[in-house]
Amino acid sequence: MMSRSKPLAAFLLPLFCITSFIACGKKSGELPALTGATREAVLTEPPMVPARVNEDGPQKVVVHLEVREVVKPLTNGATYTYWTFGGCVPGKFIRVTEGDEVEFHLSNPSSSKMPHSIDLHAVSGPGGGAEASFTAPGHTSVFSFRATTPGIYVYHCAAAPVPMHIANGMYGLIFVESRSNPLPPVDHEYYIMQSEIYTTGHYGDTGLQEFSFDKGLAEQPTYVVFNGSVGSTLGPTALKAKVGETVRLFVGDAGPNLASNFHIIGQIFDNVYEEGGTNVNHDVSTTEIPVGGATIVEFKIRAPGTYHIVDHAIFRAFNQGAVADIVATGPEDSTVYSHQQRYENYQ
Amino acid sequence: MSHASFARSVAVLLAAAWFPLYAGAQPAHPPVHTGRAPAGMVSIPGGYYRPFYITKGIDSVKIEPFFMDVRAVTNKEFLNFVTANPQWSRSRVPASLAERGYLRQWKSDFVIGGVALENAPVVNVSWFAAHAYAAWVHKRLPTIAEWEYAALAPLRWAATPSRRSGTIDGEAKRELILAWYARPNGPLAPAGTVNENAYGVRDLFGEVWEWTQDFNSVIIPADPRGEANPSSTCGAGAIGTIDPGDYATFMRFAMRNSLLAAYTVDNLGFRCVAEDRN
Repeated sequence: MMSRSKPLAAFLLPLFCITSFIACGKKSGELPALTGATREAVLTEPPMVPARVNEDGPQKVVVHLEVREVVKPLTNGATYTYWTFGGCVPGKFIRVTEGDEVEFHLSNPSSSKMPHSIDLHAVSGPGGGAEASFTAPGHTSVFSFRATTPGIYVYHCAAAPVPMHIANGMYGLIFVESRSNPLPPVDHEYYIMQSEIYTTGHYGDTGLQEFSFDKGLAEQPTYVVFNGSVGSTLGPTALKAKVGETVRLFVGDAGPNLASNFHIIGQIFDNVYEEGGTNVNHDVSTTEIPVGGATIVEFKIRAPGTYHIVDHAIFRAFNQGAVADIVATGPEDSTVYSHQQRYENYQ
Repeated sequence: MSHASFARSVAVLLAAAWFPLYAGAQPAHPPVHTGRAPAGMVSIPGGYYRPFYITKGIDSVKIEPFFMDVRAVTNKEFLNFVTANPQWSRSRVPASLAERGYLRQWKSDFVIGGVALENAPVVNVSWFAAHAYAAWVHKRLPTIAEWEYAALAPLRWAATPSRRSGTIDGEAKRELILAWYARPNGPLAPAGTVNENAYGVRDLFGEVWEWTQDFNSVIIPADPRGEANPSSTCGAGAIGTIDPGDYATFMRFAMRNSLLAAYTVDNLGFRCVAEDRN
């Protein structure tokens, strides 16, 4: 029996392999089997980024994110009612690896006034999760998606009226890291998002500021900010690095209206992952980030001092708040940058 | 000035300071109809309501004259209902008719636990419970069309020492309502003290969301960027409404759209209406 069955097996086995290979290529080529392990995603508030997780293979990753409507400082003496993912603006950073299955739990506490939802641009499926996650106060929605495509993606609330939910702070970033080609190690990873705030009051008015529909529709913001408020990332909360270290910024633009002309004064980006895709550009000073888009920039700190992160549409930086800082410490190297060497009369 | 009228003036001033949008004194304008309405209700004259979400072939909905509760139903009133119908008490109501949070602001099944709470609008009531209450008082819940129609009336701005009374309509009214929707939940004011409108109806804005009879009847997607209504003539969600700039109304429809009939929510109450058969 054994000897007779062998030729049949020898014939069937390759056939089986070929058909299963074809089936794989057709149906689940992008969806490798999960390892069976499950982990709870570590989420971070800006400007921090969760550490990379070294997995054996694609896992089930459980994300618990709670919507919170909170009053927080907008600028000196002014507050705003922010609608947030996780209590911070931008919302908590989510990091998964290509192929992971994300089981998303969106909770809207009973203290909320509004229903909310989440559309993650990392989702391949209609609405990006918006319909599956539409949640009344006092309830939780659960849905799952496969992180099929590496990249850095914006997520945001998509409950009506969508522009107000985004303008009020309901956005964040999710990073799907490539499994086969992960980003190289760097000394620091930080998380920044640019957005506009539309208030009925003027820039600098004190007290609780209220949302202005008219200014939003006219695309004339009162404030343009990094990480939700004027001065969120200045002084004691500025980003930190040392001379000689490498820095990676995950940068998103939430809008709701204005694309960012993203620039760091006195820095040149060694690498720009354009629009968060696979195209890597080098030696870039200013890169544009579309509304609802994100990018990754990498650079090395070559001289100590304070570096201003700005939207180089410069009224936004000078008059509307779009400034964040990196404070770099370390030894001066006059061959890299001399500071002022002379100051002379010129006539 | 007599002592009594002086005291009344002081009371009015205090009320005006306390509830800046409604002084609690003489209405700025008399309600349109008052005579025929039952106690605690006002007459809403009939007319036509243009639905917010456009449906092909329906330009307006005829609204028959009806009576509407002046204010949201209070905890105290709802306790009367629960006492008379103990199957609607917290420990006895089935989960299929009310979620776990049902009346969770109360101390126990038949004890509210605080005078301020007694007079505040009842919240954490399911649609089933609100519906049962309305039937018990021989009324019913308003339809979306009736609620929105009554809510179209301008708000009254009561007199304060520094300004004359008047009405708030159009953009100003919209901004005022939007500002309330944009704030997190705070403690509830006593029912009947917030934002009186020209019909004499109070609390429609600035207090709690309210159940409607047909809250789940509008076929709008949970993702508002999609098609507003399968039978609508327009494609994208916002385009399928009569006014994509009316964010306050969007919010009410979004809230209704997020609910199921057994849901109980901290800031969701109700009021009743009755037919005007005259």
